[in-house]
Amino acid sequence: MADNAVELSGVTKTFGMHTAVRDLELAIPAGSIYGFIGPNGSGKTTTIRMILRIFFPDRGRITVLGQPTGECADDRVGYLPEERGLYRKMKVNDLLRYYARLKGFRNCEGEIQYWLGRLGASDWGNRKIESLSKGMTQKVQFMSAVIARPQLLILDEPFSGLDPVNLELLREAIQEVRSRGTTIIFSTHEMDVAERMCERVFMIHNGNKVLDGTVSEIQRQFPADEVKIRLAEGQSVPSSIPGVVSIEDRGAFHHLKLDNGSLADSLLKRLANESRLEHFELLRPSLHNIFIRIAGPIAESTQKPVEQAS
Amino acid sequence: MQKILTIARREYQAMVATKAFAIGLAMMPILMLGGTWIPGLLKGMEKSEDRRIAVIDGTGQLLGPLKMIAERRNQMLPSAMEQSSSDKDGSSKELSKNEQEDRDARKAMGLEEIHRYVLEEVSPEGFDDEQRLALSDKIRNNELYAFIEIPADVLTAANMDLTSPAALQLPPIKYFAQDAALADAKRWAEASLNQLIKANRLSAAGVQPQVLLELERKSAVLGSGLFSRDENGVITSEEKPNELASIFLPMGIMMLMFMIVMMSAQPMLESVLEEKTLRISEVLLGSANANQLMTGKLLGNVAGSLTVFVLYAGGAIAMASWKGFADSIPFHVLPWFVVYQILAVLLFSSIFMAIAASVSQLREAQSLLLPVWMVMLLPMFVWFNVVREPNSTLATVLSFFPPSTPLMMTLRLATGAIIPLWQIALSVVLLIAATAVGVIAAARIYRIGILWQGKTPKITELLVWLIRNPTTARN
Repeated sequence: MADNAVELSGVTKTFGMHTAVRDLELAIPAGSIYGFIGPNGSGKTTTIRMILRIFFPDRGRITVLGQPTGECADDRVGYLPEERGLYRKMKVNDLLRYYARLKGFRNCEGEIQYWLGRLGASDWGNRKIESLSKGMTQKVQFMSAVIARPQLLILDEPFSGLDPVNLELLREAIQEVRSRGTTIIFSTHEMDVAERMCERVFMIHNGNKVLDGTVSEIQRQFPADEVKIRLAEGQSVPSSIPGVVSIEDRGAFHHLKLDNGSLADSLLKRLANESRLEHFELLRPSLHNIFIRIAGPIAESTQKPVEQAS
Repeated sequence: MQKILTIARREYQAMVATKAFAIGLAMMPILMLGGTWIPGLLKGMEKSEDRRIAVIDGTGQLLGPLKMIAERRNQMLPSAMEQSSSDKDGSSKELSKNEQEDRDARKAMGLEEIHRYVLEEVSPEGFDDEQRLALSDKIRNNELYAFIEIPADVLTAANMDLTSPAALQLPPIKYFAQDAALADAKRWAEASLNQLIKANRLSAAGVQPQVLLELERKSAVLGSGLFSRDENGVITSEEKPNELASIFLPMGIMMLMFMIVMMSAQPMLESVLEEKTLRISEVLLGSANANQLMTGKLLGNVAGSLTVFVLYAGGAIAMASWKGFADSIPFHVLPWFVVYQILAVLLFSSIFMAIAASVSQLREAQSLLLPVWMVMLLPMFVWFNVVREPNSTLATVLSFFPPSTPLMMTLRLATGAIIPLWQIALSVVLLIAATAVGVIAAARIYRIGILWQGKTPKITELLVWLIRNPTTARN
């Protein structure tokens, strides 16, 4: 197998006047877990559909598992679409068997039993999909994506609608699939999940790639602009400090947001001089904050000219 | 190929192994035949009763004979005949063959009369609106069924001015009842009274009524089978065709075609719509391309339609054999029926798939389906004309119009008339061509439509999907 499970180079896709994806370069190493993040309508699903060969790019090249994309769908790729994707009237067993056979995996009974047991669903086999709860449906959907032992697994929002227990179960299941050597791409809105699970994260916004790298690489690109402090008992945080945009009281700690360009060490000196400082922590921007910085309403307005230039 | 078969198998199971299918299978014949059987059944449950009819005979000569006619009619009613069936006297033998056939035909159409008419005399002396009101009230109170006013001059009215159209009519007899316009009793009174009036007027003119009866004897024209020479060289005539069978059998076979196409195309609409709205098509397209998907679904659908055919045709043949009608089963139609059925199911199911793919709700599909139904049902509007004249220009033209070919050709073939072989061949060729074009066009709309979410595309957009080259426009 090639080093990269998926490679996109110079990929552009337009729908009428709208450019969904622009000049996208992306390489997904084999065996990795790759997170796709981005606001709704940013081009995530279009990118996923191109990798799945449901859409063809207008320009550029896509290689999946060493094969340039052609007319045929690839049996080595498993896919879980965002929400639903199951026949409501079919029984769980029949449905899993059908999806496995569609991928050319005919000897699938053992695999079906394994996954039903693995996800605590052994006695659902003869139940119809329409009788399952949302969380149960989500698990069946996951099973239908992995049932044919794919080499590349694409999960679009796999965790939506799951309670914490099932979320953890599914997270473990994804890690298990990965340990078999499967490359995993998943898109999510839940940044903390992406931060915990993904080796690399890719963010697309308005059809452009805005982030691509490991979580710590990405965090390094963004200056730390938040400080967490605690003063000794009886001391109060001054209501305004030069270079600090906002001060948020969170009980035991205060979170200070730094002005652009202000340095944390000058703040530390200042606070240490003026009061008894018990705790001072420079917070790395979370993926969540980075996401909002890029896609938030303020970022939108400042980004416009850049977009026009490109 | 393996994928296509996998898809076909699921589609077949989804179509056949459902409660809706079993119910539909059972309901269809009930609904279709119900139209002819239920009125008959209801009629059978109706109890025969005496219908009292008052007659105000201004002539003073017609009531007596009319009573006799009513009496004779009452004796021939089925209920009366059942009662006297043990003592097999003359009454049933008196029914002429024509009368018997006429009654059979009326019985089949649910028009059998069962009520006895009992005539009562009301004196014409001083009969005025006051009495008319009294009789009308009696009718409203269900004490009387109707009353008939015969004008005094109906027998004697004479007008030598034959150039005036009004002079050709006798003074009218008036019939009063709650359902005066269409009642059986009114038709009976009209026929019987005119017969009596004619006899009376003839004898007044010096002609014996017997002469009239003699002159009025008719000869029936019997539809008969053609002659042919069998393998032993003996010339034989075919069975005389049963008139009822020759009308209703072709219609039944046409309806069977319609039911099968409907039962096949409708599930396709629902299945594609489900795959689209539940985003199943995305998963499927990750495993098979749009052409494999559509081919598989159509294959499963055709297999399902053949199942319906086998069940219905098998049931009908078994039923006919059991009832002793095995001879009238048109076995020669069956192979053609299957050919037309397969093509029709492919054509209509693919159109339904394209429609389902281009909408997002069943409701939106309805308006697009209407024209399709209309075109397909065209032969239903003219079936009676076609049964009478299977080789008329109308029938021939509709046979070559592919959407109506399946219904029209099976209807024509089932009449037993000789349809030129070139017409059958041409209609099949045209239908194959139309089916190919239809399936390809539907596939183009389908592959784009199944991933299309949000607003329903306009007709112009659908045309763009249709025309664009599918290999580059897969979005």
